[in-house]
Amino acid sequence: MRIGSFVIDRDPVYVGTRTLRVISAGLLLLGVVALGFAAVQLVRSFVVSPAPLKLPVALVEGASVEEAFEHRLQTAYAQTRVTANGDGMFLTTNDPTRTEMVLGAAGEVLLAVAIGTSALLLRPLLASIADGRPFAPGNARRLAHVALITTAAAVLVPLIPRVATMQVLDRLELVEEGSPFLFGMTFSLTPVILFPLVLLVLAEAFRQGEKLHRDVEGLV
Amino acid sequence: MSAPPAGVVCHLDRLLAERGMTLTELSARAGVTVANLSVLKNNRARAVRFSTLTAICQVLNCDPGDLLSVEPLK
Repeated sequence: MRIGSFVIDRDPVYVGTRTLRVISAGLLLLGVVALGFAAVQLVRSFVVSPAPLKLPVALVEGASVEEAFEHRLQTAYAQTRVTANGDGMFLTTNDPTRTEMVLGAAGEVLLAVAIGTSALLLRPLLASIADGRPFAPGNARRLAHVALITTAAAVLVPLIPRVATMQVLDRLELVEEGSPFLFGMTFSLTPVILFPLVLLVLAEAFRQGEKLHRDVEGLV
Repeated sequence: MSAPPAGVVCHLDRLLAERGMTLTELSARAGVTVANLSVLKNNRARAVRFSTLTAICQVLNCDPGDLLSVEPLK
């Protein structure tokens, strides 16, 4: 017997109603917490007095970490600190401007907004699946919106801190000829394409499901 | 000249009354839910499965034509 026919014959429940309701409640909580966190972070970046700001920094091709340390020592020793660990290389500025503070927090804020909004969009979808109405009107649109939000977040969240880094490098004159620091932006296209594409395909499946659902409405 | 608009009308009410049967009894004997029978009886159904039609006709001992007819819309 083929595995496919075994699974179809058994008609297993992949996620139980109770689990769906628990996840749905969790998404509501996650949405509220994430949006609250985003609001607090945004207000904080505008209100609190400038504090040391740690930003990701990349090096030009061929430059070494030692060169970056040396360059920083010569040009902006008092105002900056360069650190490198497994997550990458970071430039900490001790006296960021208000714009740099806001830009530095904006990536985190956008990520939290994306997570919060997506969670709140997915909550009614899960609730309708738990109610046995997976193709209720609006579910396909919700998934498509989550795909758009995910795309925007995948592009903007890694880019915004880079913009802040460019501001800092420019202000501290760390980007003149021969500087080891990269004045520009790089990002991976894989998360931008892959995850939203899967969500869009899912949204299309739900859209067709909604169409089928409308067809059988009133069928006895 | 085009024909006046018409719709399918269900005569379940009359058939049940003639046989002295209730909707609940029909539901139990035909294996169709009361909710679905109610939708059919009140002309709110947009489609009927052959299996539903067969089950109702068997219990009521009638033909689909006795249960449904096409009449001009009021």
